Amino acid sequence: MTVSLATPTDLRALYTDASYEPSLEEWNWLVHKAGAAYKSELSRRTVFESELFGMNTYILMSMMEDYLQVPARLRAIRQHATPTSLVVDDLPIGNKRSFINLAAMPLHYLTGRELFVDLGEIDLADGLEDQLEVMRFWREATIAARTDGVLFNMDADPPDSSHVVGESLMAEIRGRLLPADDELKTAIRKFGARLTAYAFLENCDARTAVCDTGPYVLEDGSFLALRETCTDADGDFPWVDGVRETLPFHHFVIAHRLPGSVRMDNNVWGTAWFTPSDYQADILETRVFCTDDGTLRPLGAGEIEAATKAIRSAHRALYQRLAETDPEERNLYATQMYAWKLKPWARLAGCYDEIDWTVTPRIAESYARFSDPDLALQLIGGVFVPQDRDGCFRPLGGAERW
Amino acid sequence: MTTIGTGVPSYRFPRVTGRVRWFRSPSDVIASIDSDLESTIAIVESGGTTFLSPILGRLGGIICRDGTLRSHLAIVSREFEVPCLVGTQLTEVPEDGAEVTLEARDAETGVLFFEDAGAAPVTAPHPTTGDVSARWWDYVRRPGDEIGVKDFDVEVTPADLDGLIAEKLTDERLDDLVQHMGRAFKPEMTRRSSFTSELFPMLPYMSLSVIDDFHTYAERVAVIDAAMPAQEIGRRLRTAPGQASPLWIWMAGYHYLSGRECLIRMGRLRPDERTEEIRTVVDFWRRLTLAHRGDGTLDNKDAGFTNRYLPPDVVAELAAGTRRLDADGAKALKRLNATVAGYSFLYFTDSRVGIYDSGPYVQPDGRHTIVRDYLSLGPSAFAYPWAADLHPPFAGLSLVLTYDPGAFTSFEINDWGTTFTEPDQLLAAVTDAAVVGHAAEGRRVALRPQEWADVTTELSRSHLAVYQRFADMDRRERIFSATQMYTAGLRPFADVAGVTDRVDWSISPDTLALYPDPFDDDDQAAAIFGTALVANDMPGAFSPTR
Repeated sequence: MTVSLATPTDLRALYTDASYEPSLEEWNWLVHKAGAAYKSELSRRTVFESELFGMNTYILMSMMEDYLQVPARLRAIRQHATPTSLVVDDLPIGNKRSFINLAAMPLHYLTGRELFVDLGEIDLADGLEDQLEVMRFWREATIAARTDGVLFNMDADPPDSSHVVGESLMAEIRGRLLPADDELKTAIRKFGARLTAYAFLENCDARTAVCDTGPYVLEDGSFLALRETCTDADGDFPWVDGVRETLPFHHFVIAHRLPGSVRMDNNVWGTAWFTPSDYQADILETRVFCTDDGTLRPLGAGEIEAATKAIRSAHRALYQRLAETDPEERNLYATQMYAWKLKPWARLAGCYDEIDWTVTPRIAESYARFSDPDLALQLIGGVFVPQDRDGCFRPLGGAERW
Repeated sequence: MTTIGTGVPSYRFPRVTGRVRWFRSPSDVIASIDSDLESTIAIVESGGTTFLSPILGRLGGIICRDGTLRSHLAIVSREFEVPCLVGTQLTEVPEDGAEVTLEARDAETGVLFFEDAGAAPVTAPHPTTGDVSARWWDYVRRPGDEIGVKDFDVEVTPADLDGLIAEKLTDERLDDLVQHMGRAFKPEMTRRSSFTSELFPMLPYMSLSVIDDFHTYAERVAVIDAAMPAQEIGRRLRTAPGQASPLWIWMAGYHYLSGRECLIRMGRLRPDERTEEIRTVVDFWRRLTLAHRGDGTLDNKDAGFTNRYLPPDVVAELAAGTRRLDADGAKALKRLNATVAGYSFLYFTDSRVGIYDSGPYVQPDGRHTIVRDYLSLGPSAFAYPWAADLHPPFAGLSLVLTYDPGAFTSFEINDWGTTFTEPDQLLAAVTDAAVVGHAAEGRRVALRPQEWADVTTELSRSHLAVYQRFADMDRRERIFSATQMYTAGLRPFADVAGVTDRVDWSISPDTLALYPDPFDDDDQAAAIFGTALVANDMPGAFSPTR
């Protein structure tokens, strides 16, 4: 059985009308589109390993955990708030419900589905309602979050861009930018590098806390690039206990205005690539903002310096702690890190404590099996870069191929 | 300097030298946290970023043996501005304490090398020439993708290159090479849309010229090669722009085999005949190409559709002469380019072989430069009768064109030195340019923008003169003039070797016997040429040699 890949007739409704309920064919069109973009991106990466974290292992475990847990958790959240209200009630940037978090929601969940199918534990026809629950939440929240009328970055204008900031917030950001002299650029570059490295460590070598939106093209041909980097402020990650408290700020947005001669390509999950790669010399205006209190507060030079020093100390402490942690425990942290993407949504919805966040025992125990690097690589490779299809995901509803 | 590894630079970093330190576990990192690391080049196995993260910002450089530009380590090292090579293939494994240098050659290529090989502790021997040879011939034998493109994955040092050039072309290798050439050639011919010219009967003259190459090249090549080996000619020709271009080198092998294929198609030659002659010519082409390209590749497509044969100091000198184009300058450049291109096509009997783009050469600021050679504008080593009394302002011209690579989503220079870009208006993206005139005695003259219009005017005069000469010719004269245009292809190499007068340049009687029947007939010529090289059932354009 195959599924048609005909383009839906009413793309406007599919992309922008949260009240519209797509048909199964239209959902599958979105699944295929997402899977093809995901495969394209993943096939350009060769490394999913780290000396500190066995990435293939925790990717397997966390995405299978997503498949088991996410639908029920989303239903619990929906009991308290709609996806739209969760998005519009808060600042669209500088929090952990970022674009990258939202984009990962169906990608990780559907990867988990593929893994269970490949392992022979479920059939392609199983779990359709759960799968649609996840797709619906993602679509509604994405429609509310994006200001550019599409669901995927590759469809935006310009292509490979994402836009979540409206006009008034854009004006506020632009009004606070500072001319980028060498001293300021150096300070912000060092801060950004230190913060990014720490965010990767806190998130077990995943980039999920670093999210790019833009390019926001301006009237003079220059553009704004926004990088959100959010460390754990709320106690989501127990491995950061005692470290997070040493940081003066936790949620940041770094804004750069860049000339049109620099190109920014923003991939399907919100990681940007700049051409030329050493674009920082071209920055025209810049600013670091803190969003800890839900507003956009520009940081002064002294605050940036203090934050840089604090992040450096926190980094050392966390690294020491993780290096001394048993590898299996470390892997559990990493599994939790990915599998807990809904924690910030549940906190905002007010149902955090209603949800059991414990990793499913059989998933936690699967470490013994999936810590075999060859098996992990084989399983991950079969989903991320499958040889028999042009995307990562097979159709929903039972069909075997597109 | 001994290159011991190549990888992809995470950004265009300046050259950095430091001492190697291996990091294999988090305890290695923790043990170094309080060390001075500014001159430490860290070597790690994989591309995660957390492993090195506590010290990453203080390192002098990083060598990662795995990973891509999209790996986390590449992202964060770029943020820290710490030089980093990812996906590094080490041909030697330096020990802790070895002094090494990292250099980003361009956006895609970075190298790791010893400044002084003798001082470096090394645990693994450098691969022998035999290893490189085996991998190089594997590359030759691989079919590639649907248009014959295949990644060139062999690290070839200058010593390796000498070793490859010195290799004997056995029967097996000859056939491998001919098949490689056929697979590379056929897609280019298939993609070419037109073989027509109002002035010149193209298929008759192309067929006659390549067939004459087959009839004459073995003897000509033997004379030239004996006076100066092909590899030495190749080395000399890569020292400056405006000399016999890579396209003429390419034709030395490919046109010769095209002639062979036409004769096979006509039933005048069996595939297993004249093998020693084929070996002589293909081996000449092989050594000439390897020495001229210098990187071990044989084709532009296998080098990522590039040809960067010019030495860095020459490119730097050419680029230093470029000037920012204002609107008037851009207009003058386009006019000059259009005029010279039109003239060059006519001079070379409606063929592109007088034009060659080399590059793109990456500039320190990240922009790219191509060097467009207009090879011969007047009397030259080609000794064309229609050019004998021309007096163009220069023997040749080179345009040095610098642009932002971000202006293009696709940029390819094919094996004929023709640039294909997307969007397709190359000159519209050029921000800085220089025009260099090549004087007859070899001197290079930088032309100021205000002089470009004068050159344009003078070339227009030469254009009229050449056009008049060709217009006055009858069909037969035009066919044989154009045939001669191609069959003089070895003259520039004979000129370098100093043996022009010792070679018989006349068209072979065996070739002349094929005119007027069948090659005065456009349809018959098209059928023979087309079916021989394109419309056959072989994977490539050329028949096996055994």
